[in-house]
Amino acid sequence: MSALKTEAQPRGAHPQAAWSGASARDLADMNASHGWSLDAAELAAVQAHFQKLKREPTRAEVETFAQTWSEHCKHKTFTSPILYRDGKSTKRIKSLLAETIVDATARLKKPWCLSVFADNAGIVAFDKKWALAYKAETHNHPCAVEPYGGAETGVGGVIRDVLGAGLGAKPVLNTDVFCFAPPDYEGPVSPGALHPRRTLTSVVAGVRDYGNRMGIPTAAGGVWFDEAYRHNPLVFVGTVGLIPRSAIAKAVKPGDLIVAAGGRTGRDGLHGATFSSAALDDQASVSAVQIGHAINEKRLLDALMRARELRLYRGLTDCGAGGFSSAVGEMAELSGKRGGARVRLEAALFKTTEIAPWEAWVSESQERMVLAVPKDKLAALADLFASEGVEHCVLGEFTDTGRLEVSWAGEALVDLDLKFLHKGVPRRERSAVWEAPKAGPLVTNRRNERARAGEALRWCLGHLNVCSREWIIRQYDHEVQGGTILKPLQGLHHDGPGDACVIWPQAVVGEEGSFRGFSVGHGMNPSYGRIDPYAMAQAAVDEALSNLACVGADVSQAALLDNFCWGDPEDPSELGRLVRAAQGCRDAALAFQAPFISGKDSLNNTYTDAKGLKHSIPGTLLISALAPVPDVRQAVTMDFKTANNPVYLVGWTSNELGGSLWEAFAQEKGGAVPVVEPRSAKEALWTLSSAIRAGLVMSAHDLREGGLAVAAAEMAFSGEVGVQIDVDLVPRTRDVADPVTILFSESPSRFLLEVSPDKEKAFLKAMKGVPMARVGKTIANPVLRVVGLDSRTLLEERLNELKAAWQAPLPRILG
Amino acid sequence: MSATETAGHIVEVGAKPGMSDTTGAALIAQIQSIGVQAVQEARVLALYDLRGKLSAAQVTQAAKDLLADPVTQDFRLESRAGAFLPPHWRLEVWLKPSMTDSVGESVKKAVRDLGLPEPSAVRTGQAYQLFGKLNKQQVDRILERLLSNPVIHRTSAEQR
Repeated sequence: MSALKTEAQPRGAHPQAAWSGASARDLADMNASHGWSLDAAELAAVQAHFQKLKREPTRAEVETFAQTWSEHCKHKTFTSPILYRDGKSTKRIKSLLAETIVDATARLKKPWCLSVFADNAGIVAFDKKWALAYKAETHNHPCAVEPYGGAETGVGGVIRDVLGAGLGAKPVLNTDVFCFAPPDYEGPVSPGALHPRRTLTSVVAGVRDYGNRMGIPTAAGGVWFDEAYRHNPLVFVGTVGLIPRSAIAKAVKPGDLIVAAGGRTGRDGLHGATFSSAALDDQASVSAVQIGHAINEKRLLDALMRARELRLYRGLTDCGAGGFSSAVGEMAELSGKRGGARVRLEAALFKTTEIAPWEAWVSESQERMVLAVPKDKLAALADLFASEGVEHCVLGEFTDTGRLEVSWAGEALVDLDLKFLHKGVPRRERSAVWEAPKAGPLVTNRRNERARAGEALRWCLGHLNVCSREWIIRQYDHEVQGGTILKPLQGLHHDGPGDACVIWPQAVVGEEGSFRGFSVGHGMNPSYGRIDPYAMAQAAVDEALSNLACVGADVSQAALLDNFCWGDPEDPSELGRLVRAAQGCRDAALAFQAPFISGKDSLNNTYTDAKGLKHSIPGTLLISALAPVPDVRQAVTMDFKTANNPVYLVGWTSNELGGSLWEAFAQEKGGAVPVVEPRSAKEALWTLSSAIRAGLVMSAHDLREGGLAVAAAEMAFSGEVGVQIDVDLVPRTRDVADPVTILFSESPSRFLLEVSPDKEKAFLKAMKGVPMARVGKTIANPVLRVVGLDSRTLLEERLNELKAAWQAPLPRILG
Repeated sequence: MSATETAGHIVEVGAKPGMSDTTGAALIAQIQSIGVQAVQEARVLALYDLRGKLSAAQVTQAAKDLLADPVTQDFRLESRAGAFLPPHWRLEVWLKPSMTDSVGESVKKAVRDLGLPEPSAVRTGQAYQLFGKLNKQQVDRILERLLSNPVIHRTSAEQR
């Protein structure tokens, strides 16, 4: 590099040739060759803006629009009008986000929601002094192209989201959820796509290396396998951070210095935001791919935590998608009445001299944050950064001119009206259609299958969507920071599938007198979504909250995050499914009184192969839920504890096997998708949550994929305590006519509980009004025994064999 | 990196003889999973290309004090002659010059912290020594399917 002493020329400062006279076609060509991912209406709006100004835009200005108006940064689909047709009725939606997810939060008016949909992460109260910031992101496109680097930078990015929430939250938990094709997939892999096994192992390695090196426990998550993800793996990463309630408000004042801190700016990571808004093809742009630098981010984190305590800055945000252009652009909006920023970009610290100014402006080099620093604090901040080995530079200052002004060595690079930049994006109406799939003939009786119940159970336990995730979980450090009270793996040998982890964040601030903690749970089931995205959304909320209730969290104070990963929003039926899922989110949030506090969408998860064939992912919704655990000493694990205890089943069982594991096993079709009955589900959940917190339940597990059979097996083999269940005692609706349906139904809002005999009376009193029944008891014999409706034994399986079937798949496939 | 960059010293770090090379053992299983059965032994080495004004003695000191674990690992400054090894394939995987090399950056600073001259740049990579009857096609398959991603890596393979 030293040989190349070229003065960096402000190449980006030269006007783009002939925007004013360009035809729509010319603009489209430029758009394609530069990778801006702007649509025709947006290109026309930019053109008209500059025609009015009577000048040509610079490259850097067009890049600024491309970044700021990208789907990634602006969520155009979720905030633009949609004409939605549902059967015969048609409705005009002004903004899907405002009318569903945000609307539910506004109506619930929870006083403990301290910052929602405004900052880089949602923030809720934790106790009188502290709050929790939670954010989940996706990093799908980078992980498809380079899974290790994509996963690392995904983790790094979401950590910076939390670090950039308020005046900065200290990360205390990382979460990871993936959707991959099965790692033993044997079909063809298209050019440009990696084998799912490679994607899985590399993504896990990336999450592991970044989280472990930063000293943040990765203790919650999940994996869903489906061949439909073979071209578009989904990688959801989340971070929870602890922040003093006094440090939530951030501000930017005109005259504050714009300070960039952390990593240097290079040519790596150009066009990540616009890249993620485009569909993947086998010519995927590769400049967006980077490898993370966890040690740099750790230094930045430590320095910022000290600077926050000393109030050496007034506001900050992370430099993610769109780089400086987005970070400075967003903060500039907060400055004074009109907002504004003046940047002298040549003052940035660069990795290389071979960088064009426009590239420096939009580069997405990792591990960078942008701060608003009062002038009189700069010297102290500089000293502190130096002591922590963090580099920084002063890029300029915030103003109140209403303009975003960027120069390079005195030459104007960008001079844009902030209002137009942030509000000028044309809102194009899209159309969406939802048509319920035609119901097929329903299987009403599975009596003839009873001989296969044992086989079905072993098959379900060994299914990739149920089997043990220990191969993945053990690679993550889930103990670092010393606050992981309930681990992801629970039970006698610490290898059973816990519903959720419980974190005691006081471990990092040394407040040992408080036993308050929190838990996070996840809900996701794309198979239900194939039948009805509305039911999928409700089931996902139900699952995430159920996980929380099981471990002893207070679900009456649960907050939700939504992460939508969808196919092509221009396809009316895909968009119709998205609308339906968003409506499901709103209705579930209202029913469970659990507000959404933040969310993210990743659209265009489609893949066009060399032959022009389009592959789309199933619409996928991840719900993450966060709730306080008032006393971590009362946390409950899912493994059966001792023999001769009553076992209770909470909730109604119906003939709901649509999208279930049983359907896959028996190759049935047309089952009814599990539907959440919101009012009774909320009552049961809240009541159970109180009973568990009152110490009346010894072990609790919610029923999901594989239903009662799988849940009972997991509780039994995790605790090495047998169980006998009489399916005749299971509370069920009239459409349930046989024991196989009872065992494998996936009706939501159900729980299996072990209760101590001496607390049974109190338990029954506490649960009054909730549909439930005593369905059996734990036994000394290490078997799972199910007695049928006619008192005959339906199945009796040894626990060690069930456990072996459940543990086998991932080690067998991954080595 | 321009062509005029000072040629560096390449340090190679691997398990000591007698020490189990767990990554090598895992690699054999992975190679078998893609249908190549001929590999009998695999060794994985970390490569560090230290560029700039460091003498061989200074690079040796950095390798000894920083790059290799004195209990479990050996290091050597790579030379074409190589150690006395049975015939094998040597595969190398390096990050492309356009990629930021985070480990390399950390090594660069750590060398300075040892009191040695700071290298102008440090690039990192891996070498894989594969023993067994393999043809070029199989080696390419291993590189492509398991060890590298053309998006971020440059690779080489030679028979020794």
